[in-house]
Amino acid sequence: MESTEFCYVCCLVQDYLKYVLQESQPGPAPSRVAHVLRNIASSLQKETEENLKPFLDTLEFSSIEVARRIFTQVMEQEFADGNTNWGRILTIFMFGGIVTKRLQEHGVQLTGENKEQISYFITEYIMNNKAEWIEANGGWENGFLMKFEGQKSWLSLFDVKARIMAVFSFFSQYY
Amino acid sequence: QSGRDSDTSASPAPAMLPEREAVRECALQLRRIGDQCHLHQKILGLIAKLFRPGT
Repeated sequence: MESTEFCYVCCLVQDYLKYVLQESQPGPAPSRVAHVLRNIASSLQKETEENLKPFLDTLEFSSIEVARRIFTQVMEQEFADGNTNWGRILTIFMFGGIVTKRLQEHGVQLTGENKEQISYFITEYIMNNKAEWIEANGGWENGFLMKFEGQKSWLSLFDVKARIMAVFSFFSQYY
Repeated sequence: QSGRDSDTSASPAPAMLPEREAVRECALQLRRIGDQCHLHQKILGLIAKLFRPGT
């Protein structure tokens, strides 16, 4: 029997993987956390995939077991310096998405059972290694959401302000 | 203390060498991307604080 927290994180992982594999209908995310996770992590996913491509191309994602081994090794090394932050937590989801896509590209059928196994090992990693940090940093609702929700709107506001200032400085050359 | 794994352990099988290297590089890239995202979020948080009404 898994804990409520395990099920909560597992739902986030499952929703993110569905979203990355473009399986989910364009309907709403199951929660605000899942929605923000979809937006922020997937916006970084493409760049991450490009950066990792030369290294991932040398790896054979021939089975779920191999994927689990590679995923765990990469995560252990990423966090080996002892630092954790929400940005790095996001990379756990992103790398989970990348590994899942690689499995698909290597011809591994993503059956319901296989997807469940992938979500399970990603969740297991988070729960065994990062649950304490997440709780100490406000949890998903008061930590992650507080930090990342509304980031996009601030970003666009900042962008609009920068554009207005650029237009003013352009015209100030002539007047 | 750097926190990095030492490479002084017993030599791995030749087939494992490229995998080990790829795993290490992936981990370093993810760390960099995660830290950048963290910094980005911190800066935006600071800007949000400055522009928030009542501050």
